[in-house]
Amino acid sequence: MAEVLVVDDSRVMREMIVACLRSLPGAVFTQAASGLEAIERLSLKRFDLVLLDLNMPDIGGVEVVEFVRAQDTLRALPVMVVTTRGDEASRERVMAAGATRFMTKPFTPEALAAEVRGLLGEGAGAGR
Amino acid sequence: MVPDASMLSADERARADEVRALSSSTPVAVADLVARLDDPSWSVRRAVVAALAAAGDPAVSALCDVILHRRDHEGARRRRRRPRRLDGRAAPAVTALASPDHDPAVIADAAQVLGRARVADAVGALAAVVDHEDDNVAAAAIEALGRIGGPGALDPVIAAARSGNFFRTFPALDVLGRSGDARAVAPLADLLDDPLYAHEAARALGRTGRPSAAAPLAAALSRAGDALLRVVALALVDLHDRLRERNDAPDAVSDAVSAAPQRHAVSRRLGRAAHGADAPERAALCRLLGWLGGDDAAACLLDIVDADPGASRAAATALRALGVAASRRVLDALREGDGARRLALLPLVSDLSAEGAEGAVLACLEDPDASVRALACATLSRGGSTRALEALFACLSDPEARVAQAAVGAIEASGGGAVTEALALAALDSDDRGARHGGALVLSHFAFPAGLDRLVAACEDPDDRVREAALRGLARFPSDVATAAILAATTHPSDRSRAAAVRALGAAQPDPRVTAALAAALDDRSPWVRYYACQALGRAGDPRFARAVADRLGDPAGQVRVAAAEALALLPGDLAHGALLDAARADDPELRRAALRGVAAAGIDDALPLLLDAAGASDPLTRLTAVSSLSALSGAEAADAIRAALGDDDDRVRHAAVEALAARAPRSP
Repeated sequence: MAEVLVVDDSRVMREMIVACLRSLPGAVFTQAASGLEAIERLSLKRFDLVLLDLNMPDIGGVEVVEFVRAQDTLRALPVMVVTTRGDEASRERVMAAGATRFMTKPFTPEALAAEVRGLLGEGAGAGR
Repeated sequence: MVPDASMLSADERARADEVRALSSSTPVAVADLVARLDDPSWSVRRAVVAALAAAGDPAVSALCDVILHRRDHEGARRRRRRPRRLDGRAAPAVTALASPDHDPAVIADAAQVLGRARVADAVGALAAVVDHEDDNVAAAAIEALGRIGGPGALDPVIAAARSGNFFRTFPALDVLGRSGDARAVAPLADLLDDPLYAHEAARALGRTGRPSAAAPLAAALSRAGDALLRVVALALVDLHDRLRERNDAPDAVSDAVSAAPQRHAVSRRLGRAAHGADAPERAALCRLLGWLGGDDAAACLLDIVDADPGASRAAATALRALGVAASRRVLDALREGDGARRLALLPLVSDLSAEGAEGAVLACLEDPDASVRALACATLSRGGSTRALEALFACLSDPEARVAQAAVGAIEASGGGAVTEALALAALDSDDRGARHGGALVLSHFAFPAGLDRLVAACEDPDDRVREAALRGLARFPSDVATAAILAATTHPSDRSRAAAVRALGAAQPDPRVTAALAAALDDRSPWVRYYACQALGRAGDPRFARAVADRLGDPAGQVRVAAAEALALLPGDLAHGALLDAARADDPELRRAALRGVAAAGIDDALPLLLDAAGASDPLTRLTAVSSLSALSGAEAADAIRAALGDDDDRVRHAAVEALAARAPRSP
């Protein structure tokens, strides 16, 4: 079973991501509507993958990535940033902070599922 | 707009803070903000754009310029503050930016601004870009149309829902659900069979609140997988509640569900989906099973209760709706089930007169789990036959005190007929001390005349608890025999029995024998005997005992000193009042507080200076007592002290001052 945390301040976007990945066998989804909620959930439960928006109220996506990389128990957790900010500067900053993958919106369900399948294969059980 | 702080350098952060300050000024410093549109930092410029967007008309020219000509524009889309209404020049100017001729990012920004500002005149422009080749533009336009609403906004969204393009269809589902428009139902229903959209479509159908959404959702019950079934159940319940709230076709959902084809199979599917469901989903599934009805639904509801006793309330409501057939299943399950199942099901038994109900509950009295036995006793308190009463009396001997206690409660709730009287008398003859204790409690509760002699005899029972129960009961008999038995017990070797006897004397008619015994009890070796003696003498109100009670103000036991102060407040005469005034100056804070309450309640003339002094005490509980007690006194000084306490450092004292002022209000001129 793979525990996936989906973080985005838009409910519709979270549901879109879940809809794309629902067919992944054994995947269980937890949703967080802000960076702060994401950090709370990461502190309480073990996840196998985080899908993360960048621009959110309170704590932004980059800060969440930095939080993950600063924790001994979460350091190896794959984090994929999914954002509308496709410019190269944003990508560089996010990857420098420690994100595992960077994907821009819009995406196709197939492309997202393929990326996630790859990440779960690479980093299953990496989180707390 | 606060940029993502982690993306900023220290310099950028400082400049972003300046932007925030400019946007918060009144009026908004538009010129200063516009000057910062050339800031070298993308993040700072984004904050400037957001501030201008939030400023409405005064900033519209700058806003349009930046949306149109700057590449780094994303801030305009991420504003958190609700924008001011766009009117005058602003709305048309921004609407013009939504033209398909502009850069996709510009159009998306403009759509966001128009949607958030709910510019109804922009519907045409937004509809024109719903099928823009850029998905982000289309999604922004769909979202904006959803925010603006109205009949004209719906058709392009319906078209987007049917487009087959994931990034357009999905946002359109959300908008259609929120529209509450009957035209939204068909496109949503069409997507219930597409695994990519089915969950969101089901949720949206529920959110429409349209009666016509009931049929497609109910039809999905016979073909959805477990996960979708849970979502459909939630959607049906959401729809049902919305319709009920508006009293618009309030039975549309329950009718559609009960008319579902293959009801038996649907029941089983719903029952299966309950495993792994969360609490709201399980509650929704229970409601659906209640609407479906029949034996299968009842069996599934019982399974749900088995799996999660926390679902009992939802299951009970559904089972009640199912009527007799379900009731029979509950009773069978009670008879045959284990402790956990019985604990879950016993609360569902509401009618003990139903066929087989009493027997099923009685069977639970034999359960090895004491919690089940206690709950069964409580269930039998809802009314039962002679057989049930006999079983409850048998439970008085239960080794677990909580079971015996529940049995006594159930017997007392039965009303006390001849059978109860006979069984209680018989219980007093038992070799089991629990049975005798219970019997004495029941006889005491009902004060059956035939019980008097037996309770007198029980005062000599070898068990402390039986003697206590008997003495408590004897206080309810206005008879010399009863009083004599209680008086005799005031010299019993057991401290508990003497305390029970003195307590009982407090409820007896005061006569010279009683008051003499109470006065003697003031010197008993047991503090609880002295405590009850003070209480009883206070209630008797005989000033001859004021000196003896006042002496107890120096008792080594704190509860006795407090009881003495409370008793003195009830006794008339200078001696009692003088002793109480002295106690109100005592160093012992508990005694002082009791005396302060007493001097105020007794209306003693010299109370005011003592209470005023106590209102300034260092101990907050003493101040609280003083302030509360001052409410009983009239006069400006008392009122001033209470008002002063409104500024006390301690919450409790301030609260007491508010209540004291409220209590004095009716007496104010």
